[in-house]
Amino acid sequence: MIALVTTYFLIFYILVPGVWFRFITSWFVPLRLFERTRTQEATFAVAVALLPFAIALFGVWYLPVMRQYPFPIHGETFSDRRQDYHRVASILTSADSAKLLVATSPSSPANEANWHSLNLVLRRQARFLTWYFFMTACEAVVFGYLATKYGDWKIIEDTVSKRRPLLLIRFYNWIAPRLILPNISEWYILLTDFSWPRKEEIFVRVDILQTDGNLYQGRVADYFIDPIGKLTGILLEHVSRFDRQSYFDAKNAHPGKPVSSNDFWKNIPSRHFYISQSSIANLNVRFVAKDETLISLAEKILDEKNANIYDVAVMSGSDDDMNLKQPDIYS
Amino acid sequence: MVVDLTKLSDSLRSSSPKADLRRDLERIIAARKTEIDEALQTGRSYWLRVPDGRQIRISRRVQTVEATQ
Repeated sequence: MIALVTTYFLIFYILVPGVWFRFITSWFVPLRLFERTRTQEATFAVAVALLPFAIALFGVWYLPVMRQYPFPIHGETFSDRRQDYHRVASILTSADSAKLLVATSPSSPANEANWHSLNLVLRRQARFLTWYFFMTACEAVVFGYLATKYGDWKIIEDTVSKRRPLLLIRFYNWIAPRLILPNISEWYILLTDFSWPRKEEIFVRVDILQTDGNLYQGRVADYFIDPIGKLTGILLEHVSRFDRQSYFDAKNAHPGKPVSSNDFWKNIPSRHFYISQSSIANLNVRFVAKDETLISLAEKILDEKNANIYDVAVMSGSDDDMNLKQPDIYS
Repeated sequence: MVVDLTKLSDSLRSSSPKADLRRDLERIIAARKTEIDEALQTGRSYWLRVPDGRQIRISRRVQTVEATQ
């Protein structure tokens, strides 16, 4: 019976809150996953559950609504509660607990009292667990929200001198590297705009060299990780592939003459181009400013005399003009 | 793979996508300025590939003159 109770506490007080926290947080940011030992898993769960546990315990003891709902027990006192737990503890630790529960006569008063205490303890446990899981969910929402704000609230050293940040932001910058960052998936940091302020509209482009020597370039649309946090593949859009053979042919045809590699990138007409991790030899990640920035910078650099004669437009892979200029490799 | 995510994030933020882009564009445009201007003078547009993979079309701006009555 003791083993049963221990299992109950382990599952409902430690494991379930840990899983629940991960589930809620994953709505905001993917958490870091790697193969943990049982001790590491338990440590994580305890660390996550400590604060909600304390709040829930305080609430069900002292706060008006939490003391009663859900599963209300009317007219209970502290001594009633203590007595109920005493009875249930003696049932659980008894060598023959069945004797304390099964009726020896049709209406044994002692057994009725035991059943009654057991029922009340179960109701109290259900009430406590409800609030405990609710507090864990609140903690996960706060954690997830704070994590999504990292790019906006992160203080960059060279900007500190310009304006003193708010106390809250400074506290966030102290706590984020200690609590938030270590628990977030490294792929999320590397393959999304997590580290950048939202208003900058940074996006991620990658150059992927495959093990067979093919080189692809494209914008990261999505990525996939397995249950232990290893990258399994990347989904790209606006993809182009470097036609290495033609490039080398052109170089060999005109030895000594410079050949621009730009003309040998071929567009691939797909918005969902998947590259599996097993075929990736290496990955070059670029954080890229938005198209408007590219246009304004290009116009500014082209137009040194400010004559306003250049018109610059960013072309996407689906533009007909561009496909005529650089036909995809399958056409 | 165990990565120090604080260092990773800090190193990412220490770079500047806009400054990188400006540097790339200055280098490419300086190398091709003559070709660009030649293309525009003959009425064509010029295609330029930025190292991040995006392509821009450079053409001569059409000046709109408002008719006044």
